[in-house]
Amino acid sequence: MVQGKYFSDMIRIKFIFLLLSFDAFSFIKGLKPHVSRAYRDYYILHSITNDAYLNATRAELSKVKP
Amino acid sequence: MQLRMINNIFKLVRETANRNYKGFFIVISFVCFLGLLLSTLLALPWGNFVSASCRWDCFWYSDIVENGYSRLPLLYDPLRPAQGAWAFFPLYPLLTRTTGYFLALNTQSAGLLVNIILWPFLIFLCYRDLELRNIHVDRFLFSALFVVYPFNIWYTAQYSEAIYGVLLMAAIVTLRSERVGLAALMCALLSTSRPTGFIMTICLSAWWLFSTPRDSKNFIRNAVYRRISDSLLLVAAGGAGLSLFVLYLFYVTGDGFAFAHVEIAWNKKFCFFVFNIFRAFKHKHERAFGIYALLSTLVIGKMCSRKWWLNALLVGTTALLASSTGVQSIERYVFANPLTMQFLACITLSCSRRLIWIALTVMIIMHIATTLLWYKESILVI
Repeated sequence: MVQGKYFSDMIRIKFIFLLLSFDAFSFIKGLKPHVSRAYRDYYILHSITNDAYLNATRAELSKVKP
Repeated sequence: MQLRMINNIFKLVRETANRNYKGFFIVISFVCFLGLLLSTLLALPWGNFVSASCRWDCFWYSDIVENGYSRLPLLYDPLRPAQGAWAFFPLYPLLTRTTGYFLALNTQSAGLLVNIILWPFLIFLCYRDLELRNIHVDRFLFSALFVVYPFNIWYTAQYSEAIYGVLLMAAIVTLRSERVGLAALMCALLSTSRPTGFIMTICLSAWWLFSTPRDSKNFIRNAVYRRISDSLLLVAAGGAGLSLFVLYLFYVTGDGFAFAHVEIAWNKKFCFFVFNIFRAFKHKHERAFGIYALLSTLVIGKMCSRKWWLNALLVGTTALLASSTGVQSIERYVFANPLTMQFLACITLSCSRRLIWIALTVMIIMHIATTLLWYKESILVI
């Protein structure tokens, strides 16, 4: 009975560790965005205005479209 | 004769509610039905209840249901420049899409149906939480107060309030019942329902860690280790729910935290909340939010007692987070929070019978007013 409780506690600890590892992985992924310069400047650094971001992104898209 | 008939009806309803949980749920559903009937009648000038209730953020939820999350924000919408659906968490749109698919309903109808079904469950969970704390109130009047409460409009509109409220109360009730595994699952889902979901999980985890176990006489070392592992499980599970959305956003947009970063498009920047409240009073169209913010502070202050400290912690944290980026919608975050509704219902039900009926009458009038303001798309109930 004590051994059974020990195993269930161990499984629980391993499960928590697995979840926390997953959380840490996604947090690290989130800290390194793969975005355009305009996106980073507007949404993350707040160094350009709303209009500047829109103009830059529209210009980028028009270059990509045939 | 008529008065006696009304008294007999009330007596029957009370007896049904007090008989057992099934009877109570039937009474809650009946009272909710009456509330819906009122909302439907009030919506007639706007066509029908479904389209009239789709206001403000309903646009975003509908967009997510129909088109999913897009790689880019809105670039050509003059009303919503650079805004993106990433700020709106996926659980409610997912439920709406699933409901719409299986019942062959359009987006707005499915979204409304989800909330109509969840609303009675929320009222039941709020009552059950009180019962677990040995607080006993009249079941029928408790349901009635919830249904006529003026700031419950978002629970019968296409918003995520209902699913968030149900999961939050379910997490609290399952924790009080010491079913930590189930509470962890609720926390995981809660983190996918609203941005504040994960923060609520952290608060619940801290509350669980420091709250006294039921059999506090046997507070031995193993019980302490158990509490620590329970709290870690809650945080890890809540984190896992949020992580799924972060990874999905990273896949779609390249930015896992897009849900937070996109807030700038709504002019929301982090700032000390007191400055945001002062700023609200300086602008004519924001003064109402300043008043809401002050009233929120009053209500949260009243909650700060031994009996209501979990309510104060959760609602206070929500208010602090919300007002740190601006006071718009503070009335929804605080007054539409199920823990605030629960608190106010209990305070009202502790008054004399006469005062309770006066409060109910005033609330019905205010409920009609806020419902009409919602249909008019007034900024006062954004």
